[in-house]
Order: sequence, then C-alpha cells, then structure tokens
Amino acid sequence: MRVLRYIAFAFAAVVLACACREDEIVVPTEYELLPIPVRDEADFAPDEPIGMYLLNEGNMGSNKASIDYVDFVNGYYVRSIYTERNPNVIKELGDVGNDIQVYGSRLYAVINCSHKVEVMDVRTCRRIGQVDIPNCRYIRFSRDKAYVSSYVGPVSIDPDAQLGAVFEVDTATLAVTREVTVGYQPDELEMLGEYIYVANSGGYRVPDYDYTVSVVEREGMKQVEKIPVGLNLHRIRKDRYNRLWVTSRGDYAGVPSRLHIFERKNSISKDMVVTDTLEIPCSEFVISGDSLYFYCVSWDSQAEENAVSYGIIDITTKKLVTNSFITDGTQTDIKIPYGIAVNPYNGDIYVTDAKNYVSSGVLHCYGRDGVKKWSVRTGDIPAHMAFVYR
Amino acid sequence: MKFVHTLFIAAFLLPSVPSVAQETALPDSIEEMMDSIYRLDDVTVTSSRLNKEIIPPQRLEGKELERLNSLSVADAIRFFSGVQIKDYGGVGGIKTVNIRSMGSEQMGVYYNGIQLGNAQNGQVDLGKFSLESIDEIALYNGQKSDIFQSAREFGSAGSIYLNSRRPKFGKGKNMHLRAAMKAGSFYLINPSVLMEYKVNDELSLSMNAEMVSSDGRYKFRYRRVTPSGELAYDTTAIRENGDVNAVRVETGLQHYYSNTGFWKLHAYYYNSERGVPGAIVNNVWRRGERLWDRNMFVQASFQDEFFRNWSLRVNAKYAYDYTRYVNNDDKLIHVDNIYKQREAYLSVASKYSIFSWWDVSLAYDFQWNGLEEYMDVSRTSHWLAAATAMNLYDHVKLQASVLGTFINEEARERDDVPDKYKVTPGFFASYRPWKEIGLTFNAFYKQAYRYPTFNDLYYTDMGNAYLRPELAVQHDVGAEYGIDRAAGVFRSFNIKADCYYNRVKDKIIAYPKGQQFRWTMLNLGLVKINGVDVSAQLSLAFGRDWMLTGKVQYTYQTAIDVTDPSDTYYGDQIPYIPWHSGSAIAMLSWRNYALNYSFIYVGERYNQQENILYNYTQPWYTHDLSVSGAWRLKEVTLKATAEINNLLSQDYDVILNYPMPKRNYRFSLVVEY
Repeated sequence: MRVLRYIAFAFAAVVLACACREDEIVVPTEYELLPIPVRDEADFAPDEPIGMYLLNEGNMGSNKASIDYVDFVNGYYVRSIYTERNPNVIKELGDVGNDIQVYGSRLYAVINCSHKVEVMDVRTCRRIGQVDIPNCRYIRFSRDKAYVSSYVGPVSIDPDAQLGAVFEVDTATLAVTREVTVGYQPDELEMLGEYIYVANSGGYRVPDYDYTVSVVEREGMKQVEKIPVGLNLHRIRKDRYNRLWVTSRGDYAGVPSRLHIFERKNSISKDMVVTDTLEIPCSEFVISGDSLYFYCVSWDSQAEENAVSYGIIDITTKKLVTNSFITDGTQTDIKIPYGIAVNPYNGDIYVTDAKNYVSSGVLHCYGRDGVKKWSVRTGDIPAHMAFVYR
Repeated sequence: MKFVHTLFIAAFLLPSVPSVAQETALPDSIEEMMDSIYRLDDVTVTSSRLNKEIIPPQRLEGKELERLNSLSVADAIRFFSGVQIKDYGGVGGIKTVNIRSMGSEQMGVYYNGIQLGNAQNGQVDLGKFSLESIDEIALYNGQKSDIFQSAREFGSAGSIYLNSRRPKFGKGKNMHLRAAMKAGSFYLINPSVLMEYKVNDELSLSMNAEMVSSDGRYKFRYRRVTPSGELAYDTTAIRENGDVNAVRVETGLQHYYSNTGFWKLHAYYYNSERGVPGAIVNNVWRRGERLWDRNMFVQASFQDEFFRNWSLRVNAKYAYDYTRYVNNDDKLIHVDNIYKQREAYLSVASKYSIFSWWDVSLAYDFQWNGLEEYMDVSRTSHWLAAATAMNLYDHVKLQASVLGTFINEEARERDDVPDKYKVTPGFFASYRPWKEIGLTFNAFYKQAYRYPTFNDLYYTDMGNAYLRPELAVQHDVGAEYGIDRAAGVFRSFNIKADCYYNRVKDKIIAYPKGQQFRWTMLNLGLVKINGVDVSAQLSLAFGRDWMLTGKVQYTYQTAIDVTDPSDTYYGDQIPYIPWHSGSAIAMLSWRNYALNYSFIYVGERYNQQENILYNYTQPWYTHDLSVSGAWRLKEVTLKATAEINNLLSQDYDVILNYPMPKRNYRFSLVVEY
C-alpha cells in the first residue's frame, strides 16, 4: 500500500507542475517608436493629418482583424489600439476587416466576416456602437448617411444567383434605414452628385463575373441603371474633375486587370460612359491632386511568382508618369503590396505589405521623392488606411 | 490466458510463428473468459511479435483501449507519443492526426490492413472511426517493419493500423452477441450491436452496427483579462450547428481454413449528416454549413503459405465516397457542392524464406482513384516494393526496403499533368545485446513521399498541376528496456526512448498569387524537425487481486520553418506544434472493478507561422476519469462505465476559435452473451 501512496503523490506532483496555464489576456497592445520628430499638436495645420488608422484584415476565421494607429504627433506606432481602448468587447474587433473610413468625428470599420460596421470615436478609438450588415464590404458617406455595399442582398429565388445590395445607415441612430439591390458581389462604391456608383465584381460567379457599375439614385434609393465597364470590378473613386476611376480585376487568366475612366458623356448629359480604358493593370490606387498612385500585382505563371509594379498616372493626361514611385530600390522588400495611401499634406506615400497573408505585415513610409523613411510591423494583412485631422 | 489466446490468433495472422498455438485450447470456462477480458497483460504478446517487427509499434488494444475515455479513434491516438491532433471540437468536429510534425497528409491510416484513402485532400478524419468495432490501434513511426506487407505500406511517413475485432467464441458456443449503449452530455446517444456467428471451426461471420447521434450543443466559455488583471470579458455560449447523426454497418466473413491460410471479406458502410460549427468570431456564434458523408467499401484478403517457405497475400478493395457540402448561411454566398470519389485497389505481396534467418519479399499494388462532379479527374498509381529482412542469432535484426511509386495523372478538365515516379528506400535495424536482458537498441532511416492531392493539383484556380511530391526524410535512434514477471509486486516495467531528426522538403504550401486571396500551391517549404519521445509503463500487482498500471509518455519537439531567411517566421516553430506534450494513464483494478484516470497535456504553441505574442496559444490539459464494473449473470456478462471528461472544466481551444467542450459525462452499458 505504500507503493500506492507514492504513486498518488507522484501524480499529484505531476498535475500541479503542469498547472501552468495562465489567465488569457485580451489581445495585447504594443507601442513602437517611429523615427519621426515629436511635435506639438497645435503646430499641425488644419489640413495636416495628426494620425492615421490602419485596418488589418486578418485571415478568415482567425478573428484577427485589428486597428493600428500611426501617431504623427508623438511619433509612435500603436499596434492593436482597438483592444486597448475596448477591452470589454467580446471576441475583439472581429473577423476580416474590409474598409476603414473617417466621417465627422467618427471612425467606421467594416468587418466583413463579422457582418458588422464598427463605429468608434475618431480621437479615442472607443466603441460607440455597431451596425449589423451581412457580408458588408465597403462604406462611403453623404449627407449624414452611410452607404455600405454588401455581397448579399435579399434572398432570391435562385439561391445560387444572389444579388448584392447597398444599405443606407443613419449615422446619428446607427440604424439601417433603406436598402437597394445592385449587381453581383458589389465591392467599392462612390458618391457623385445625386447618385451612388457601385462596382459589381461577381467574384463568386467564376467564370461569369459581373462587369457593370450600378447607378443608384440616392434620394429614392433605386437602381436606375447598370452600365458595362469591365470584367470583375473592384475599386471606384472620383477625382476632382468629377470623373470616376474604376479598376477591373479581369478573370486572372485571359482578361487582364485594367483601369477605366467613367464620366459624363458630355457636359449637358447626365449619362455616364466609359471614355477611356488604360492598358495599365491596377490592383489598388489613390488619387492625390492630379496624381494617381497605384500598384499592381499580377501572377507570372512562367516564373511562378508575382510581378509587381508601382506607378503614378497623371490624371489630366491619363499617361504613366513613372512605373516606379519607389525610387531607392527598396520595393524588393515588399512581397505583396496590399494597401496604399498618400498623405495629402506632405505627400508621404504609405504602402502596406501583406506578405503571405498569414503572418504579420509591414507598413512602409516613403517620402514624396520615393525614398523610404521608415517601416513598421503591423497586424495580419494590413490593407486599409484613414487619416485623422486635428 | 490472454497470452495463449492472442497467440492463437497471431498464429493465423503470421503464418511462420511456431505452431504451438494450435495445441493449446481455448479458454474453457467463463471464468477464464473473464480473466482474459479483464486482465491487462499484453506485454508477452508484444514481445512475441518482436520476432516479426524489428521496431515494435506503440499499441493500444483490448481492455486498455476500452478503458480510455475515448469515443473515436482520434481520442485514443492522443495517448501516443509524437502525435499531434487537430481537433475542431465536439462529437462531429473534424479530427486529424499528424505524426512527428510531418503533416497529416504524410500519415497512412490502415483499416484491417488496407489503407483508407482520400485522394481529394489526403486527410483521414479519425473522428469518424468509432472505437466500438476496433480492437487494436497500432502506431508505427516510418513503416511497419515487417517485410511481408503490401507495397503501399512501405510508403507512408507514419502509419496507423486500426484492426477491428476478430470473432471470439466461448467453449461450446457458436454465437457471440454484444449490445452496448452509450449516452452522455450533448444528447449523445450511441447504441451498437455486434453479432458473431461460428459456422464451423474455420468459418465465421460477424456483423456490427452502430448509430451515433448528438445535438453537439455544448457550453464553452471565453474569458479574458486586461494586462493589469481586470476582467475584460467573460462570456459563456452554446456551440451551435455541431449536431451529428451517423450510422455505421460492417460485416465480415472469415475463413481460417488451415494453420497458414485464410481468406476474409469485409464490407463497410457509413452514412452521416452533420453541421459544421465553424470558427467562433466576433458577432458570429452560429453558422449554416452542413455536410453529408457516405463512405462505403468492400475489401477482401487472402493469405497462405506454400512449400513451407513461400507466402502469398492478396488484398483487394473497392471504395466509394460521397460528400455533399452546403452553405445555408443567409449572410454568405450559397454553396452546394457534391464530391464523389471512387477507389479500386489490388495488392499482391509475397515472401520467400531463403533460410530461417533470411527473408525476401516482393509486393505490387495498383490503385485507381477518380473524383467526379466537382472536379473530373482520375489517377492510376502503381507501387512496387522489394524488401529483405535478416535475423542474426536473435541479436541483430536488419531490414531494408525499396519502394518505387509510379503515378499516372489523367486530368480531364485541366492541362496535362506530368507523370510522377519516385524511388524511396528504408532501413531498419535493431540490436539486442543480451538474450536474457530485455534491452534493445533500434534505428531507422526512411524516405517517404507525399503525393499532391487532387485539391493541390486541380482546385479551381489554386491547384498547380506541376507540383512535385513532398519529401519527408526521417532518421531515428532509440532504445527500449523491459522486464516482465509472472509474480511479485512489480509485474512489468517498460521504458522506451527515441530521438529523431526529420526533414520535410519541397513541402507543398499555399502561396498567395496576389489579388484578393487567390492562392496557388507551390513546393516551397522546408521544415526541420528534431524531437525526443519517451514513454514508460509500469504494472504492479498487490494485495488481494489489486492491479495498478501506469503509463506516461512525453514528447519534446522542435519543428522549424527554414524555407526562406527573409521570412519573418524563419527559424520559428511551425503552427500548432507544441514544444512539450505528454500524457499519463493510471489504471487501478480490483477484480471486476476498475478505476481509470488519464491526463493529456499539450504545451504552449503558436497558431500561425510567426512566434509572436499575437499568435501565442496557451497550453491545455485535461483530466479524465472513469469507473467501471462488470458482473456475470449465468451466460451473460454486464459491464457498466461512467466517465467524466475534462474534469476541471478547462476552457481551451485546440485550434484557434474552435472552442472545446467543458466538463462532460458519458455512461455506457454493455451486455454480452
């Protein structure tokens, strides 16, 4: 029986020794100094950003969407600021962030696989509330209303041909007020005049991609027209000449990605038409002044690797100004560019690198001259950026 | 008596075992039957098998297997060293295993000697295999080091053998009946019946049917604190859409017509419907994915020995698998896909004994796989293996094998795929310096290829037809020491240690193609794996009819990604591989009552490639307890068991965002005639 007692003790010891599991800590926040000068917030011009939010998408199912913040005033980078400011939110920000925008004093983050738009205070990043929208993709604003594109509209008779929708949200009450059915799997949308233009991708309908821009009359929330633009549309942004720049992804095989210009037929007509298609493949772009900064990632099946280009287009001449806005050769540090922003005040260019989509990314900052200023580690799949002003 | 009994069966399986078994009688009373059922002394049996297998496997069988709180094969495999389980939680959740960090596609799973296949994704969900019909699970690192086997068996980096129950009859009986009912938490209902019928001394028939049903609704809890220790959130929810309904029917016919020869027929049918509970993420607590599986196969084996030194074995199998996946979630795009897989397999193996100490063997396997509906592809594979084994004065045992694999791809939809052809060697050796002392040293070297699956090659816009096979090279040295005694307090003691170094080269990984999560498969990865497995077992007999058996196993492992020095995760431990893992089992029995305790520990690990704070996953460990009793009423025996799993109700995820059940219970009642 003594043997038994020893063994009982041994087991007790093993069990206790193994009890090394600690309380699970909410996703931690890290502060990292950036090589930029510390300045007084009062010294910032009203049109000079004091900070920039960066939304990391996080891989699907990982629940690792996160918000980072670049503090231009104090010169540091805050990794995962959302969890520090909102530790009580169950299961944190959510799964797959898809868009982040600032409107008024609020920050809006579209969390695709959590089927919600998270609404926060822009200065503190504290949560104000959320709007539940299924499979939401992108958000834009007009007259105190938010418009959110969604892959799933009302249930259709044919479950395999479900159209997407645009939801209208009252920014004061955070309630969905109206909804309009658009094309297949709509991605970005843009407000121009009295209309909402929605880029339909049809990305889940391979090989029958959508190729149209839906025109929605905002007052009545009615789709008035669907205009053919290009195969598998993605981005749609306006420039200061009231033109829309639209990207098509193509079919990843025979039809390449392209950049389309979509504008009024003439000064009298209200009809929008594609006036030009540039033979430039484009994954993502940003318009700053008369310059359109873009990058493109395309698969080179021969070399079994991605071919990447970073260019600037003069939007007045529609000509390529340069095919490499990174001038110091550091573009080779970027594996997969996944987001781009340009500081409207000083012209700094921000490019994010998503690497292999399942490890943390990098945010690179280049000066107007294309020379790298600094780089910082981000969350997983850094993609979308929004500036904050004083 | 168990020894004799098992040897009796072993004699049929391994024709060249000396035919002593034949002369010994079967247990001749119920008393002895009880003994053989309720006593755990398989050690002698294992050592007798050493004659054939140069490196003995890790094995769980019979009573021991029955006593572990396990419902499926996957639950039981957790007790083997060097194994990592991916468990998505619940009765219906997918459970796959991975041995020594080489990836679950490198694992071969054999059901009654014939490999279970999934040409589509290369993984076998062991959660689907109930322990109800399984009598023995054996795990071999490398291959089964017995040269008389089919060619395919030389091909896996690690092998799991699931052997179903062989008919056993009491004296003067020609019928064995067993009915069992398990029930427990999450509305688990699991009735099963077994019928074995002895036509004559040579021919027997068996039938086994089972149903598993569970609503899969279990409570789970996420609790987080802030770095300063304040409660951030604490939420308990119920897992939804984790229900499962499955029916399994198996039937077998076996004819042991001589000391050396037998033929067997086996048919298997499994039909299930389950929910796919999915990841728990912010704002999503329920998903709408459903999965229907229908698996059926028929397999036949024949084996005999001719002219005293030439043995032949023929195996054949035909399998048909149907899978339907539906996504009914109204927030997501509707999906309704059907996959149909077919497999035809034929294997011929022969062994020739040149001398009593020197055997050679030759085996040829042929397999055809076809996938329909979702992808329309097929593949024919040929395996040709030659092997030799030597036993030098019972001190040194050597084995060498070489396997040629020829894969002929026929893709009907997409571009042509190059045919693949590989030759892989394997060397196994053991050395026992003293006959009287149970100390053995062993070593092996083996190469194994894992062929790209249909998904790797052809998956829409992601598959890469030009993939090369992934190569795993294993090196292993180990030692084992064991003593067995028939009397005294210390009945048996066994300790085993292995060090290994593996390299997985040309690892098939998904590589981003750029825009919008479009991936391609490339031969990019290189992983180096170093590890130590240690296991020990001790059996004590004391007092009046008390018996205590303790088993511990521990694994230390590093599995380092060394693909590209510019990666941020270069030199980091690969996802979900813990540095430390282990288990302990203690079984205490007194006459027909038994108390069983088991503990499983999986140490800290990372859920993504980079070993950073954001990917850190805490250790988890569970304590399981069971009590059982058996009673005899004339011809009928009755056995009742009560189990508590996750005794301390730990809240843990094996896979990130797939919460596991808290404390849960299971009861079972078995009636045997």
